[in-house]
Amino acid sequence: MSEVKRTRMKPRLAELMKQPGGIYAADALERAEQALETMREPLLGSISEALVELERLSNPFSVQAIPTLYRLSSDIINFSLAEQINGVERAARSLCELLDEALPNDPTTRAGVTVHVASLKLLHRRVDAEIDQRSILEGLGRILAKARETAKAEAA
Amino acid sequence: MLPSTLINLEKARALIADSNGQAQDILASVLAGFGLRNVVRVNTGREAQEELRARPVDLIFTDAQIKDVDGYDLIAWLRRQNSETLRQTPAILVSAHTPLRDVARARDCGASFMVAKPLSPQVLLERILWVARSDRAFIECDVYVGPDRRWRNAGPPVEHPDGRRRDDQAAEIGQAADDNLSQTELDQLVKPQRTAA
Repeated sequence: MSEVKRTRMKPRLAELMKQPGGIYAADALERAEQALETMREPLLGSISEALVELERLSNPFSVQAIPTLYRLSSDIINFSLAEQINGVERAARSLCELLDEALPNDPTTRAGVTVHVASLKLLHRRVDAEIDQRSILEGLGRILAKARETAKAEAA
Repeated sequence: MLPSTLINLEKARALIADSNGQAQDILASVLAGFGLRNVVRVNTGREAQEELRARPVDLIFTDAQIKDVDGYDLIAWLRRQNSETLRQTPAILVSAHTPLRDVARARDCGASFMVAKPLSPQVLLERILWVARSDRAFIECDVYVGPDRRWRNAGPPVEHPDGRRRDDQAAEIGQAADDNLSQTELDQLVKPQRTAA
Protein backbone atom coordinates (compact mmCIF):
# COMPACT_ATOMS: atom_id res chain seq x y z
CA MET A 1 0.00 0.00 0.00
CA SER A 2 1.36 3.44 -0.87
CA GLU A 3 2.16 6.02 1.79
CA VAL A 4 -0.35 8.85 2.12
CA LYS A 5 0.93 12.26 3.19
CA ARG A 6 -1.74 14.51 4.66
CA THR A 7 -1.02 18.18 5.35
CA ARG A 8 -3.12 21.28 5.89
CA MET A 9 -3.30 23.67 2.94
CA LYS A 10 -2.11 27.15 3.75
CA PRO A 11 -2.70 29.16 0.57
CA ARG A 12 -1.02 32.57 0.35
CA LEU A 13 -4.40 33.85 -0.79
CA ALA A 14 -5.69 33.39 2.76
CA GLU A 15 -2.96 35.67 4.14
CA LEU A 16 -3.54 38.33 1.47
CA MET A 17 -7.27 38.38 2.10
CA LYS A 18 -6.75 38.97 5.82
CA GLN A 19 -4.97 42.27 5.19
CA PRO A 20 -6.78 45.47 6.16
CA GLY A 21 -9.03 47.10 3.59
CA GLY A 22 -11.12 45.48 0.90
CA ILE A 23 -14.81 45.65 0.02
CA TYR A 24 -18.01 44.07 1.26
CA ALA A 25 -19.20 40.93 -0.54
CA ALA A 26 -22.50 42.61 -1.45
CA ASP A 27 -20.61 45.48 -3.13
CA ALA A 28 -18.24 43.07 -4.88
CA LEU A 29 -21.18 41.14 -6.34
CA GLU A 30 -22.92 44.32 -7.45
CA ARG A 31 -19.77 45.54 -9.19
CA ALA A 32 -19.31 42.17 -10.90
CA GLU A 33 -22.93 42.18 -12.11
CA GLN A 34 -22.48 45.73 -13.45
CA ALA A 35 -19.33 44.67 -15.30
CA LEU A 36 -21.21 41.76 -16.88
CA GLU A 37 -24.07 44.06 -17.86
CA THR A 38 -21.70 46.07 -20.07
CA MET A 39 -20.77 42.83 -21.86
CA ARG A 40 -24.37 41.72 -22.48
CA GLU A 41 -24.76 43.00 -26.04
CA PRO A 42 -21.33 41.79 -27.32
CA LEU A 43 -22.06 38.35 -25.81
CA LEU A 44 -25.49 38.18 -27.47
CA GLY A 45 -23.78 39.11 -30.74
CA SER A 46 -21.32 36.27 -30.25
CA ILE A 47 -24.19 33.83 -29.70
CA SER A 48 -25.75 35.03 -32.97
CA GLU A 49 -22.45 34.40 -34.77
CA ALA A 50 -22.09 30.96 -33.18
CA LEU A 51 -25.63 30.06 -34.31
CA VAL A 52 -24.86 31.06 -37.91
CA GLU A 53 -21.74 28.88 -37.81
CA LEU A 54 -23.64 25.99 -36.19
CA GLU A 55 -26.28 26.11 -38.93
CA ARG A 56 -23.65 26.24 -41.69
CA LEU A 57 -21.69 23.30 -40.29
CA SER A 58 -24.72 21.13 -39.57
CA ASN A 59 -26.30 21.48 -43.01
CA PRO A 60 -25.15 19.14 -44.46
CA PHE A 61 -24.07 17.35 -41.28
CA SER A 62 -20.72 15.58 -41.29
CA VAL A 63 -19.08 13.53 -38.56
CA GLN A 64 -15.85 15.52 -39.03
CA ALA A 65 -17.64 18.69 -37.94
CA ILE A 66 -18.64 17.26 -34.53
CA PRO A 67 -15.67 18.71 -32.55
CA THR A 68 -16.35 22.20 -33.97
CA LEU A 69 -20.09 21.91 -33.37
CA TYR A 70 -19.35 20.85 -29.79
CA ARG A 71 -17.01 23.81 -29.26
CA LEU A 72 -19.56 26.27 -30.66
CA SER A 73 -22.26 24.83 -28.44
CA SER A 74 -19.94 25.10 -25.40
CA ASP A 75 -19.30 28.76 -26.33
CA ILE A 76 -23.06 29.38 -26.35
CA ILE A 77 -23.33 27.91 -22.83
CA ASN A 78 -20.51 30.22 -21.75
CA PHE A 79 -22.09 33.35 -23.25
CA SER A 80 -25.67 32.45 -22.25
CA LEU A 81 -25.39 34.49 -19.05
CA ALA A 82 -26.31 37.43 -21.30
CA GLU A 83 -29.68 35.87 -22.23
CA GLN A 84 -32.93 36.76 -20.45
CA ILE A 85 -34.07 33.11 -20.27
CA ASN A 86 -32.15 30.00 -19.24
CA GLY A 87 -33.57 28.00 -22.17
CA VAL A 88 -30.59 28.92 -24.38
CA GLU A 89 -28.12 27.47 -21.90
CA ARG A 90 -30.17 24.31 -21.45
CA ALA A 91 -30.65 23.77 -25.19
CA ALA A 92 -26.91 24.30 -25.83
CA ARG A 93 -26.07 21.87 -23.02
CA SER A 94 -28.44 19.32 -24.55
CA LEU A 95 -26.70 19.75 -27.92
CA CYS A 96 -23.30 19.14 -26.27
CA GLU A 97 -24.66 15.95 -24.71
CA LEU A 98 -26.13 14.80 -28.02
CA LEU A 99 -22.85 15.39 -29.87
CA ASP A 100 -20.91 13.65 -27.11
CA GLU A 101 -23.12 10.62 -26.52
CA ALA A 102 -25.09 9.86 -29.70
CA LEU A 103 -23.86 7.54 -32.46
CA PRO A 104 -22.09 9.89 -34.92
CA ASN A 105 -23.31 8.12 -38.06
CA ASP A 106 -26.91 7.52 -37.00
CA PRO A 107 -29.50 9.48 -39.04
CA THR A 108 -31.32 10.44 -35.82
CA THR A 109 -28.17 12.25 -34.63
CA ARG A 110 -28.14 14.43 -37.74
CA ALA A 111 -31.86 15.18 -37.31
CA GLY A 112 -31.31 15.85 -33.61
CA VAL A 113 -28.56 18.37 -34.30
CA THR A 114 -30.79 20.18 -36.82
CA VAL A 115 -33.67 20.39 -34.30
CA HIS A 116 -31.32 21.65 -31.57
CA VAL A 117 -29.90 24.40 -33.79
CA ALA A 118 -33.41 25.47 -34.84
CA SER A 119 -34.51 25.52 -31.18
CA LEU A 120 -31.51 27.61 -30.16
CA LYS A 121 -32.37 30.14 -32.87
CA LEU A 122 -35.94 30.30 -31.55
CA LEU A 123 -34.83 30.83 -27.95
CA HIS A 124 -32.03 33.33 -28.60
CA ARG A 125 -32.74 36.93 -27.50
CA ARG A 126 -36.22 36.05 -26.20
CA VAL A 127 -37.87 36.95 -22.91
CA ASP A 128 -39.97 34.48 -20.96
CA ALA A 129 -43.36 35.85 -21.98
CA GLU A 130 -42.56 35.57 -25.69
CA ILE A 131 -41.94 31.87 -25.97
CA ASP A 132 -42.95 28.50 -24.48
CA GLN A 133 -39.40 27.41 -23.67
CA ARG A 134 -40.61 24.51 -21.53
CA SER A 135 -42.21 22.71 -24.52
CA ILE A 136 -39.13 23.28 -26.65
CA LEU A 137 -36.81 21.92 -23.95
CA GLU A 138 -39.04 18.89 -23.33
CA GLY A 139 -38.86 18.11 -27.05
CA LEU A 140 -35.07 18.33 -26.99
CA GLY A 141 -35.03 16.10 -23.90
CA ARG A 142 -36.99 13.42 -25.79
CA ILE A 143 -34.56 13.59 -28.73
CA LEU A 144 -31.58 13.20 -26.39
CA ALA A 145 -33.20 10.28 -24.54
CA LYS A 146 -33.89 8.51 -27.85
CA ALA A 147 -30.29 9.07 -29.02
CA ARG A 148 -28.96 7.67 -25.74
CA GLU A 149 -31.19 4.60 -26.06
CA THR A 150 -29.93 3.97 -29.58
CA ALA A 151 -26.30 4.35 -28.50
CA LYS A 152 -26.87 2.01 -25.52
CA ALA A 153 -28.55 -0.62 -27.73
CA GLU A 154 -25.65 -0.45 -30.20
CA ALA A 155 -23.11 -0.89 -27.39
CA ALA A 156 -24.95 -3.91 -25.89
CA MET B 1 -21.41 34.22 2.65
CA LEU B 2 -22.87 37.25 4.33
CA PRO B 3 -23.30 40.52 2.40
CA SER B 4 -21.19 42.14 5.12
CA THR B 5 -18.29 39.71 4.59
CA LEU B 6 -15.20 41.78 3.89
CA ILE B 7 -12.96 40.60 1.04
CA ASN B 8 -9.58 41.93 0.07
CA LEU B 9 -8.17 40.62 -3.20
CA GLU B 10 -6.20 43.75 -4.10
CA LYS B 11 -2.79 42.14 -3.66
CA ALA B 12 -3.69 38.73 -5.06
CA ARG B 13 -2.51 37.58 -8.49
CA ALA B 14 -4.61 35.21 -10.58
CA LEU B 15 -4.12 33.22 -13.76
CA ILE B 16 -6.95 32.79 -16.26
CA ALA B 17 -6.36 29.99 -18.75
CA ASP B 18 -8.95 29.79 -21.53
CA SER B 19 -8.64 29.46 -25.29
CA ASN B 20 -11.61 31.75 -25.84
CA GLY B 21 -10.84 35.47 -25.49
CA GLN B 22 -14.41 36.41 -24.61
CA ALA B 23 -14.53 33.74 -21.91
CA GLN B 24 -11.36 35.33 -20.47
CA ASP B 25 -13.07 38.74 -20.60
CA ILE B 26 -16.09 37.45 -18.65
CA LEU B 27 -13.94 35.98 -15.88
CA ALA B 28 -11.57 38.97 -15.77
CA SER B 29 -14.55 41.37 -15.49
CA VAL B 30 -16.07 39.42 -12.62
CA LEU B 31 -12.71 39.26 -10.81
CA ALA B 32 -12.16 42.99 -11.36
CA GLY B 33 -15.57 43.55 -9.74
CA PHE B 34 -14.26 41.63 -6.72
CA GLY B 35 -11.20 43.89 -6.61
CA LEU B 36 -8.81 41.34 -8.15
CA ARG B 37 -7.14 43.23 -11.00
CA ASN B 38 -3.73 41.60 -11.15
CA VAL B 39 -4.68 38.94 -13.67
CA VAL B 40 -2.53 37.09 -16.19
CA ARG B 41 -4.34 35.62 -19.18
CA VAL B 42 -3.13 32.70 -21.27
CA ASN B 43 -4.68 30.93 -24.25
CA THR B 44 -3.25 27.43 -23.94
CA GLY B 45 -2.34 24.94 -21.25
CA ARG B 46 1.30 25.10 -22.30
CA GLU B 47 1.38 28.88 -21.89
CA ALA B 48 -0.14 28.39 -18.45
CA GLN B 49 2.66 25.96 -17.50
CA GLU B 50 5.31 28.42 -18.69
CA GLU B 51 3.71 31.27 -16.76
CA LEU B 52 3.41 29.24 -13.56
CA ARG B 53 7.02 28.05 -13.81
CA ALA B 54 8.16 31.66 -14.22
CA ARG B 55 6.05 33.19 -11.46
CA PRO B 56 3.57 31.47 -9.16
CA VAL B 57 0.09 32.95 -8.71
CA ASP B 58 -2.36 32.91 -5.80
CA LEU B 59 -5.33 31.53 -7.69
CA ILE B 60 -5.80 29.66 -10.97
CA PHE B 61 -8.89 29.46 -13.14
CA THR B 62 -8.59 27.08 -16.04
CA ASP B 63 -11.11 26.02 -18.63
CA ALA B 64 -11.42 22.24 -18.84
CA GLN B 65 -11.20 22.20 -22.66
CA ILE B 66 -8.24 24.57 -23.06
CA LYS B 67 -5.92 23.86 -26.02
CA ASP B 68 -2.60 21.94 -25.99
CA VAL B 69 -2.68 20.72 -22.38
CA ASP B 70 -6.28 20.57 -21.18
CA GLY B 71 -7.46 21.87 -17.81
CA TYR B 72 -7.46 18.43 -16.15
CA ASP B 73 -3.87 17.68 -17.20
CA LEU B 74 -2.77 21.22 -16.33
CA ILE B 75 -3.98 20.81 -12.74
CA ALA B 76 -2.59 17.27 -12.49
CA TRP B 77 0.79 18.68 -13.66
CA LEU B 78 0.56 21.53 -11.12
CA ARG B 79 -0.07 19.09 -8.26
CA ARG B 80 3.13 17.19 -9.08
CA GLN B 81 5.53 20.15 -9.04
CA ASN B 82 8.43 20.14 -6.57
CA SER B 83 7.64 23.58 -5.17
CA GLU B 84 5.07 23.28 -2.37
CA THR B 85 3.76 26.79 -3.09
CA LEU B 86 3.09 25.86 -6.69
CA ARG B 87 1.77 22.40 -5.83
CA GLN B 88 -0.78 23.74 -3.35
CA THR B 89 -1.99 26.72 -5.40
CA PRO B 90 -5.79 26.83 -5.34
CA ALA B 91 -7.01 25.82 -8.81
CA ILE B 92 -10.60 26.13 -9.97
CA LEU B 93 -11.65 24.21 -13.05
CA VAL B 94 -14.38 25.85 -15.12
CA SER B 95 -16.34 23.95 -17.70
CA ALA B 96 -19.27 24.62 -20.01
CA HIS B 97 -19.97 20.91 -20.41
CA THR B 98 -18.22 17.92 -18.92
CA PRO B 99 -18.42 14.89 -21.22
CA LEU B 100 -19.19 11.59 -19.46
CA ARG B 101 -15.68 10.30 -20.15
CA ASP B 102 -14.17 13.27 -18.28
CA VAL B 103 -16.25 13.13 -15.09
CA ALA B 104 -13.73 10.89 -13.28
CA ARG B 105 -10.84 13.03 -14.57
CA ALA B 106 -12.50 16.12 -13.13
CA ARG B 107 -12.74 14.41 -9.73
CA ASP B 108 -9.21 13.01 -9.77
CA CYS B 109 -7.06 15.75 -11.34
CA GLY B 110 -6.65 17.61 -8.05
CA ALA B 111 -8.84 20.65 -8.68
CA SER B 112 -9.88 22.64 -5.61
CA PHE B 113 -13.35 23.08 -7.11
CA MET B 114 -15.15 22.74 -10.38
CA VAL B 115 -17.47 25.53 -11.49
CA ALA B 116 -20.01 25.18 -14.28
CA LYS B 117 -20.38 27.84 -16.95
CA PRO B 118 -22.15 30.19 -17.46
CA LEU B 119 -20.29 31.81 -14.59
CA SER B 120 -22.28 33.31 -11.76
CA PRO B 121 -20.52 36.01 -9.70
CA GLN B 122 -22.18 34.68 -6.53
CA VAL B 123 -20.89 31.12 -7.05
CA LEU B 124 -17.44 32.33 -8.07
CA LEU B 125 -17.04 34.55 -5.01
CA GLU B 126 -18.18 31.74 -2.69
CA ARG B 127 -15.61 29.36 -4.21
CA ILE B 128 -12.84 31.95 -3.88
CA LEU B 129 -13.70 32.44 -0.21
CA TRP B 130 -13.78 28.67 0.33
CA VAL B 131 -10.38 28.00 -1.25
CA ALA B 132 -8.88 30.90 0.66
CA ARG B 133 -10.32 30.15 4.07
CA SER B 134 -11.10 26.46 4.30
CA ASP B 135 -8.78 24.39 6.40
CA ARG B 136 -8.95 21.60 3.83
CA ALA B 137 -6.40 18.78 3.94
CA PHE B 138 -3.95 18.32 1.08
CA ILE B 139 -3.37 14.68 0.11
CA GLU B 140 -0.24 13.32 -1.57
CA CYS B 141 0.06 9.67 -2.54
CA ASP B 142 0.98 7.58 -5.60
CA VAL B 143 -2.38 7.87 -7.29
CA TYR B 144 -3.62 11.29 -6.23
CA VAL B 145 -2.24 14.69 -5.29
CA GLY B 146 -4.60 17.51 -4.39
CA PRO B 147 -7.17 18.77 -1.90
CA ASP B 148 -8.88 15.98 0.07
CA ARG B 149 -11.79 14.68 -2.00
CA ARG B 150 -13.37 12.82 0.91
CA TRP B 151 -15.02 15.65 2.77
CA ARG B 152 -18.66 14.96 1.99
CA ASN B 153 -19.25 13.29 5.36
CA ALA B 154 -16.79 15.45 7.23
CA GLY B 155 -19.45 18.09 7.59
CA PRO B 156 -19.60 21.51 6.01
CA PRO B 157 -16.63 23.89 6.23
CA VAL B 158 -16.44 25.72 9.57
CA GLU B 159 -17.24 29.07 8.00
CA HIS B 160 -20.23 27.63 6.08
CA PRO B 161 -22.23 25.76 8.73
CA ASP B 162 -25.27 25.46 6.44
CA GLY B 163 -23.30 23.26 4.07
CA ARG B 164 -22.80 23.28 0.34
CA ARG B 165 -25.34 20.68 -0.77
CA ARG B 166 -28.85 19.72 0.26
CA ASP B 167 -27.62 16.27 1.37
CA ASP B 168 -24.56 17.42 3.32
CA GLN B 169 -24.17 15.35 6.48
CA ALA B 170 -23.65 16.78 9.92
CA ALA B 171 -20.05 16.75 11.15
CA GLU B 172 -20.89 14.18 13.88
CA ILE B 173 -21.81 11.52 11.29
CA GLY B 174 -18.17 10.75 10.52
CA GLN B 175 -17.18 10.49 14.18
CA ALA B 176 -17.18 7.16 16.05
CA ALA B 177 -20.09 6.87 18.48
CA ASP B 178 -18.41 4.32 20.81
CA ASP B 179 -14.99 2.96 21.66
CA ASN B 180 -13.37 0.56 19.19
CA LEU B 181 -14.44 -3.10 19.44
CA SER B 182 -11.99 -5.50 21.10
CA GLN B 183 -10.42 -8.32 19.04
CA THR B 184 -12.68 -10.86 20.83
CA GLU B 185 -15.77 -8.86 19.90
CA LEU B 186 -14.57 -8.62 16.30
CA ASP B 187 -13.92 -12.39 16.20
CA GLN B 188 -17.40 -13.06 17.49
CA LEU B 189 -18.84 -11.05 14.64
CA VAL B 190 -17.16 -13.09 11.93
CA LYS B 191 -16.69 -16.63 13.39
CA PRO B 192 -19.56 -19.09 12.96
CA GLN B 193 -21.02 -20.13 16.33
CA ARG B 194 -22.54 -23.51 17.08
CA THR B 195 -26.02 -23.13 18.50
CA ALA B 196 -28.20 -25.62 20.31
CA ALA B 197 -31.04 -26.99 18.18
